[in-house]
Amino acid sequence: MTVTDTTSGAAPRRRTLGRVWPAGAPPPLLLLAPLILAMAAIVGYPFIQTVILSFTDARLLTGFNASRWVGLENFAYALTDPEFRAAVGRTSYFAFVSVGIEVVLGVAVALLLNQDLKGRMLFRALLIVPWAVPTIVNALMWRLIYQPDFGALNAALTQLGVLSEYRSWLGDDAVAMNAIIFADVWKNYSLVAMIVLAALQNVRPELYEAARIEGANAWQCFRHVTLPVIMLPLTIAVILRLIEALKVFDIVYVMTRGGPANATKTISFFVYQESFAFNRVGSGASYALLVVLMAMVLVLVYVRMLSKAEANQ
Amino acid sequence: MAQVSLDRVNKSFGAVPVLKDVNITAADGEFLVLVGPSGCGKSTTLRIVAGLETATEGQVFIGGKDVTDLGPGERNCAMVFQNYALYPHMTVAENIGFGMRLRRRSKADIAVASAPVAELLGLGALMDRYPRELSGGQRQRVAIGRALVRNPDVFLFDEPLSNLDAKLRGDMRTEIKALQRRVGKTTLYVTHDQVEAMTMADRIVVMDRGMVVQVGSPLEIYHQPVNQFVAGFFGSPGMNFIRGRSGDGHFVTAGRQGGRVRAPAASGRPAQSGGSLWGSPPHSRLADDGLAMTVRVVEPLGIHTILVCNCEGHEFKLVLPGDAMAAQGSPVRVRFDPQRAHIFPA
Repeated sequence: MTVTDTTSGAAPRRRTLGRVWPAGAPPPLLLLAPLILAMAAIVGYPFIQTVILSFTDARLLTGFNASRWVGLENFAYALTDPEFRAAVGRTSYFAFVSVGIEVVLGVAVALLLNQDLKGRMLFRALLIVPWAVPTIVNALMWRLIYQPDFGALNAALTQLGVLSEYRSWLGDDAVAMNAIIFADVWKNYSLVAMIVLAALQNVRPELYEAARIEGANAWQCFRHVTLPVIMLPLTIAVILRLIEALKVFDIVYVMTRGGPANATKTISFFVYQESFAFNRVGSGASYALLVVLMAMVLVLVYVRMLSKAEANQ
Repeated sequence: MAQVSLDRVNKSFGAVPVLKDVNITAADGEFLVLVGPSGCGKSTTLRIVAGLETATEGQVFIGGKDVTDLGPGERNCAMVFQNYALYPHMTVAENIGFGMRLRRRSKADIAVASAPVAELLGLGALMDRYPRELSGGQRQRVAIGRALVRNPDVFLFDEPLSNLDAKLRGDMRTEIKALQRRVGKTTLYVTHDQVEAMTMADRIVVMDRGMVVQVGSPLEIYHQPVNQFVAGFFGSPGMNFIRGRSGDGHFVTAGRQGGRVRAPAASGRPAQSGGSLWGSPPHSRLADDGLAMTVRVVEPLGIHTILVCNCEGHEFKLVLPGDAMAAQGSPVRVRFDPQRAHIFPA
């Protein structure tokens, strides 16, 4: 935590926590202890357990005691496993396409809702709704919409004359992943939109007026006035979304269970299958740790962004 | 060569009229100050010249060219805002060069054009700073620099000094006026501060409730206000005001004592049977005869002393020499220069 002093008019000076911490107050670590203990119990312990498992050939039914220490064998296999690589590819596709669309859509909607339009407050309130829907509910809802025999999408598209006959959206391996992406975008673009909208409120209208007087067109106003202001919050939103997309599991589980023909088998679903369908928890743990490593890279970027944002305050 | 004129401009926001039949002409190179209380339409007028608002009716000309339908970027005006409107993520140099960057001028070109402006405004050492690292006065200087570097036909200032403290405001006032003389560009300057208007303007446009009330040089406005509004707006302290009636060369106050003073000779208006008398505070003095009043408050300012008196229920201020003495609550008699007093119809 830093507090920035800008009253002097000189470059902002950073103060450390020590300066603002009141004398005689309990040490910060003591106050944080309950949280740290709780986190250690629900995150730390399972994590360590996973690390240990990943070095064994433990199987779900025979139990941990019957397992054997195999060293790095699981990792060596995981890194050369073409199926795992395919899952990484699918997950990357899911992450980049869905987050990409969420960014474009989110920014567009935020810009729209930042305009002086009628019913703006109502639309802003509605914006939160998809994001507030639990992922499982969202997935079930879209599974119904995509349902091949009585789903709303088939009905709408045939009645509009776009389709001549009903299709099985989630049963088609060329379409299923994109159908899931669409459902995910519907829910999550609103988070991006809300974060960007909040940032847009900080742009003083005179900045646009000054730019217009200097001859800037709409695109240049966006590029030089709006974008720099929303860039940092937007990047933070993107990283958050990428981390979540990397872990995507529940929407896949509910909508397709990784099918058809593994077309939607993402990393998390792969790990789930390895551990609980094929009972190879030791091997599953090693795959899971590889996912954690990938997520860590994004988390590091995220933390750096946050401290940069704080320094800019 | 850029004369600026507004021809019968009307502006409404929805059903609310904010400008009514505004006609203003600023000669080429003139420093024209639009002044009035908040909500009088002065800022809207400026924004119509800038192209940030469109007139509901009427036309705007810059340099003889009808710009009514042109966008703000096509009018070659530069505007300085009250809140500076500096781009927070750009350095001083980038802020100043932004307009040129939009027009795809090379970095070298921008540096060459910015250097003399930075020099002129004393910004040389600050070029790599960000706006948040600057004081209010420095920020406003950057905003002015950004306006100057574009070499515009017209400068527009929208209350540029309102966010600065009193001392800085005085300094910047002098600086802006000197700068305008130096570059010789037509300038429209909006303020609600009569001191700024008086000290900076070649001519002042006084506005009230969406209309132009009076146009003239600072001294014309001060000495020959066309109505009570203008008379009350200028001067510090403002004009005094007493109700009464006039006839046979005298003005008789409406109060029970019915004070009698010689009516203004050169007010330029025929004496009315009923009306109000306006006397300017610096041209009133204590005397043995004249209007009877009671001293309520004495405000010594060193260079002069302001007496706040009660005259038949009206507040009446006098500006006396700094060494003048008067006890609070004491009765005084006040006489004022008929040349500097005015009678307005009630």
